[in-house]
Amino acid sequence: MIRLRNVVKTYRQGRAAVPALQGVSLDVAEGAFVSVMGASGSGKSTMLHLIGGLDVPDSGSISVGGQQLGRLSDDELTLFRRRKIGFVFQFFNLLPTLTAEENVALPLLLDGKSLHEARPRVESLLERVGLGARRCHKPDELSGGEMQRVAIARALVVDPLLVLADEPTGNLDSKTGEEILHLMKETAEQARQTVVMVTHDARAAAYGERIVTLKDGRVVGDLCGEEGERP
Amino acid sequence: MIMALRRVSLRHLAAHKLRTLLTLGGIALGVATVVSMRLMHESVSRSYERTVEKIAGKAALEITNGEGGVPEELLAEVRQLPGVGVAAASVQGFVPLPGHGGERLYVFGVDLLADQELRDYQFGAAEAAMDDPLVFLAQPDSIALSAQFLERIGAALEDRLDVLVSSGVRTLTVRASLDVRTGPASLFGGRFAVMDVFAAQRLFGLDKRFTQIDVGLADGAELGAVKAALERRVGGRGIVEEPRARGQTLERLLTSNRYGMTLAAMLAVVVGVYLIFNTMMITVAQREREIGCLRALGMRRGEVLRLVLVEALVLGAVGALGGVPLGYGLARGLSQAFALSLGGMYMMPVDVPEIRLDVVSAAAGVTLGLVGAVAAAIVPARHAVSVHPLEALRPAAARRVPPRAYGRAAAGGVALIAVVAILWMLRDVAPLSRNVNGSLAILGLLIGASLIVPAAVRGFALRVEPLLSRGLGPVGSLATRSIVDHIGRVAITCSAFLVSLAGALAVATWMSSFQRTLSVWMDGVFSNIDLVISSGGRPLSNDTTPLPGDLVAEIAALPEVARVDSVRIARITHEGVPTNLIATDARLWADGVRRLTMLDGTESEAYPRLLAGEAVAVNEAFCARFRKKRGDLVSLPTPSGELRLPITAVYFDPGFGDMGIVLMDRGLYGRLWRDERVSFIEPALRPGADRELVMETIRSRWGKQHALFVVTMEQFRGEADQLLNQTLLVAYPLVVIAIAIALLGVVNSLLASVLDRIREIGVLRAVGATRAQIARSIVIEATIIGLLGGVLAVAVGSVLGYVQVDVLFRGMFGMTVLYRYPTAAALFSLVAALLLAAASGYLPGRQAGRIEIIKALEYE
Repeated sequence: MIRLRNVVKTYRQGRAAVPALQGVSLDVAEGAFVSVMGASGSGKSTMLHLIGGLDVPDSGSISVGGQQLGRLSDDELTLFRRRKIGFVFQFFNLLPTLTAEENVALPLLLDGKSLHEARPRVESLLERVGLGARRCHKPDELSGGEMQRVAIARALVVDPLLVLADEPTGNLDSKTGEEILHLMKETAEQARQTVVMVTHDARAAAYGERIVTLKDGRVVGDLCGEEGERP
Repeated sequence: MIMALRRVSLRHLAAHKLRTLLTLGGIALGVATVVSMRLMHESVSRSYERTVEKIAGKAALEITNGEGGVPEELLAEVRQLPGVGVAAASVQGFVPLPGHGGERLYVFGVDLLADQELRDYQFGAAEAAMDDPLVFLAQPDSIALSAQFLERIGAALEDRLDVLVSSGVRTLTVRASLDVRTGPASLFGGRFAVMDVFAAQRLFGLDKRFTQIDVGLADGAELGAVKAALERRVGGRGIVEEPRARGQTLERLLTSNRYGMTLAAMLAVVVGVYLIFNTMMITVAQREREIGCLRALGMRRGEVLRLVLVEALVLGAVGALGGVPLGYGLARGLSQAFALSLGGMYMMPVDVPEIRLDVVSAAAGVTLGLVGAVAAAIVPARHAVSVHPLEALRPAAARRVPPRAYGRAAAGGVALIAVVAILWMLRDVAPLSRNVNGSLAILGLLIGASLIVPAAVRGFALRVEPLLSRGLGPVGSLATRSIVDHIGRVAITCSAFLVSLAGALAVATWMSSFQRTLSVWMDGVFSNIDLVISSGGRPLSNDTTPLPGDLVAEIAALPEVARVDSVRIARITHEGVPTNLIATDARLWADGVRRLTMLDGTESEAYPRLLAGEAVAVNEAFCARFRKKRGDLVSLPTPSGELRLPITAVYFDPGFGDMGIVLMDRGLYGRLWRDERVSFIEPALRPGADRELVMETIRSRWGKQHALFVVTMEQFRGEADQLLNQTLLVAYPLVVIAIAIALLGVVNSLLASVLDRIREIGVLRAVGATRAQIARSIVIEATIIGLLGGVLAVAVGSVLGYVQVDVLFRGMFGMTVLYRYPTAAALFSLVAALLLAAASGYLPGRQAGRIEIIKALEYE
């Protein structure tokens, strides 16, 4: 499903070059739930962004669902993100001017569907994440957990191949965080979606069936199957 | 404070280079327009003063009487007066040079033997003829040209030069050259010639008259006493003035023009102030966290206030320092067209002005920039002061202004407009002067409309959202919601756009109304006329030369010609102010062939009195300038002595703009001014006559001799329209600048919008919005601003135009102007507003599309 080969990414901060990934290679099977762990600055978010096509590597290759991302133009990459990938962010990143329903529908609306066409799918997803009654509320009228549920619904609305979650519980209390992780795992299993979740919380990481650990831009650990500790 | 300014404010400005530059550009343009207008008026007035001074030389007093001149016998009388040291007569005027397309020469006829005491002519050293002026004078066709002009037309000594005067084309011989470095020969870019005064008298057809007599005082004589003695001696035959006073006549004439231009220039400044206000509001809004942080760290409210105001002052100072040289450059670029247009309008010899940047103009520009910047920063500064340290750290959504506030502002705006509307309607009975009342109406209207804008923007954006959402998907609704969420910023931009476009529409209204007025006037005055004949240039050009009176009879004798009217338009002086005298055949009025539109007085009473030479008629501008009314006496100096006649009627004649006109019978004029020449001959043809054939006959018979221009009435009217457009053309660059400043405001506001929405843009890009979709959303936002600005501008501009027509024309110039709505300009404004705003969204849109997704998602 996901295939990274010798991926290198270096950021520039002023005059200094900061290596984020230094030759990462990784394979993720279809339908897998992979947690990526590591300290701040280990390169885990960078890896997620590169897999999601939000950024491009300096060298190396990345393929997702058989599609070599390096060969896509900006517009093709955008369409790829729109139709094949769902994002869940730490700070929810909902648009403050849109209602919950409109936020969830956004990828479909951007793809040319009307809200009327998108509504059945959106409503069913909002029901599934437990927000059926709050679909007309704007983000500033929702709690942190509710906002993240909306974000999960948005990530799932296009029925993506891959869900990428960047610290999805980082901004939530532990109880709400667990609810969110349950929800993510449950929905991904139902739809046989691949999930890559970045976290530095070991309890959250344990939801993954595989835990990849990064340090200084390199993969230093890869625990599979029952080796992963369940809460 | 300085530390905070340097580390906090200036760094913020430096970090947002494009926005800072746009703001500085706006201030600079506003300052530049005001400075350039001031410089142009100053320099044109100074240029005329310089012309008069150079021509006056060392003369302490001058005796003049407009175009009619002063009688020859006066010279001898003046010379005998005690206190008069030297008196020298001159004959002067422009003559067209038929052989040198478009060139004109200022011919100065002087008594070379007496004149050297008053004026300085440096003749070229090698000319034998000028070694002895008598040799020069012995040949009446002698002319001395400036060396510069000789070089320009490629002529040498002893060459012949054709000039066009009222008796036809005459040939002169160049017998000397003048040094152009000093004296009057340096005037008019060297287009200057000296000849003998009596030869010039014959050349110009001034029978026993001089254009002016210059007087130098005897040693020890007292100016006041000599002036009084001269005034007694001259009586009604001319006006005795000091050259300096005469030099200021143009400035007196320009008062209204200056008011009109300042009104247009202020438009640019008002838009500039909006722009500073906009920028400061954005800056403060974006730095609320920073300001909250500074407050938390111990910065007092007063210090925050000072910080924002000083930041505005820095912007104002830098913008103004750029604006002053820009204004200087603008004035240099426009000065020639401006001088030509004024010279033509007021029929005065205005030299090409030399634009000099004086301290006062520069200081006025800088002060304007500073005051404007501080005034614009007061509200943002108060807003910054009100930021609570804790509040500033809350998310932006929690600090939205409640919609009720916009409703209250709109209600205030409507109330303000209602108040100024009532004041305006009561303008004839109100204690305020018409101009103050009009200016209040304009100001109240603009402020009132600006107060309504936020509610209008919000209401409009909410209403079009479903439509845009259906048509353009989420991109459309995101654009409208961005507007609703940032009403303050959008409303200011929209207001600036509104003010500048409304100003443009108001200028279009003056033009349209003035055109209609001229058209209606011409329908009346030029009915029953087929052709207009002039000499030296097309009838409305500056190059025309009077025609001999006997040509009127010769043309009237043509079998196809039913009737000929002849008009003499002469520049005279009334109470020291240049005024036009129109002399025409009063019998045509008495016989009912031609008619005047009476504003005060009746045709049945006026025409017989005009025909009998018992009275004159005047136009409204004359009444406004000299505070006269029907029945008052008008006193005019003539070469035959003072003429005192009552005003029998006030008639409608906007033909010379705000210049006064005295109308009389041509017979009376001819006798008193000893002038039988005519300015235009206007034949009416018999029914069935072939107009082209008659024109050809006139051209072939008299055309060459008198350098005739024969045009049809339709051509004449077309040229009148064109001339009007040219005269008003100077106002256009100002309007264009105001619109440019407003567009800078739109770009500025959109750049701020991109910054405000940077995270939103990052999310949109992450979930699949293409760069084009993002750019489109910004362009839609700009288009909505443009559409709303345009619609409101058309509404406000229509009222503004109506008020300004009344203030400018009726209030300042005392003229009746028939209002006409500029439909084409209004439609154009609307379309232009939309297109320009949409285009101005392109750059910020592109910038938004290029935002790096990762950075945008991390943006705080």
